[in-house]
Amino acid sequence: MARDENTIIEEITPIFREIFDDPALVITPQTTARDVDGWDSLTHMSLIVAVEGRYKIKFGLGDIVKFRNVGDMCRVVLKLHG
Amino acid sequence: VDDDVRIRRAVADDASFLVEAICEAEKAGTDRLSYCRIFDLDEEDFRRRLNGMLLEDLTGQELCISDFLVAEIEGDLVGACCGWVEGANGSPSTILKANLLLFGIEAQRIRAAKERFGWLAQLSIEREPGAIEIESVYVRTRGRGRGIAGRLIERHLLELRSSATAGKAQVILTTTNEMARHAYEKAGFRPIAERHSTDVRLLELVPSLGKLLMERPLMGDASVNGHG
Repeated sequence: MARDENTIIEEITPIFREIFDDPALVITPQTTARDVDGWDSLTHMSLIVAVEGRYKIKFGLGDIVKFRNVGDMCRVVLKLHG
Repeated sequence: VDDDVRIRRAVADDASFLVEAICEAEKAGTDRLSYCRIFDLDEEDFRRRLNGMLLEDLTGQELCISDFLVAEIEGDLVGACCGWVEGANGSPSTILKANLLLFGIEAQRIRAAKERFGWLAQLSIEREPGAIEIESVYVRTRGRGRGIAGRLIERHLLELRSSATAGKAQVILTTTNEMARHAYEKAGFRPIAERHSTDVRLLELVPSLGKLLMERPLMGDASVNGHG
């Protein structure tokens, strides 16, 4: 089965729950930093580094500054990791 | 107003001066440069990385060359001040700055800093979308006592006010920086909110256990003028 955005969402949900210390946190492609309690500059850095570590990828600055929501991040994960 | 003081937008050639301005403003008269303490870097190493981050020129946050104005006297750089409209490009400045730090600092150091991030969260103050944000106000000894900080701030307010939908300007500073507080009060800013912590571990990272948010309204403000 082809990996898609939803697959990535499922895989990164535990990372979000751990970083934001919320075992019930639900994320969707439309989720933004404003939707999640505690998503600030510091948790953002921890989140990005954890996602990069999960897929053994490195987001480029040009990609990362275009992230408007979780879906944007998932699409770049798919592009870099497949 | 001193006619020999020239205020202009910063360019890439000013990067090393802006590194000095950012580091000295961040230290707030102490020897604590928070970036070095948080990410376990020596100052020379951090300054080199900061120079590289500045050259990316990511607008809308405090580590961006073209969001800085600089002051010169007879061609010598003597002052700097960063200003932008919060969230104007859709992202909070803190997230933009975090992206830049992710570019300039390796993942291993960021992972190692996670516990310190938790300490720092105690002093977090949110900026208001649509407000003009002022950061890294710095004047070298040669330029002090000539109102340069105030003129840099006024120029930012003049240039940014038409985009500032919140109708106000904000600045966040450390509570112990009396000199900066006095300069901002002189520029019309008033204290709005404070965050304090009793967690003394923070003093390993930042100059004080408190942060202060100051604001100034823009609408109908006759003191916003075109000096400089």
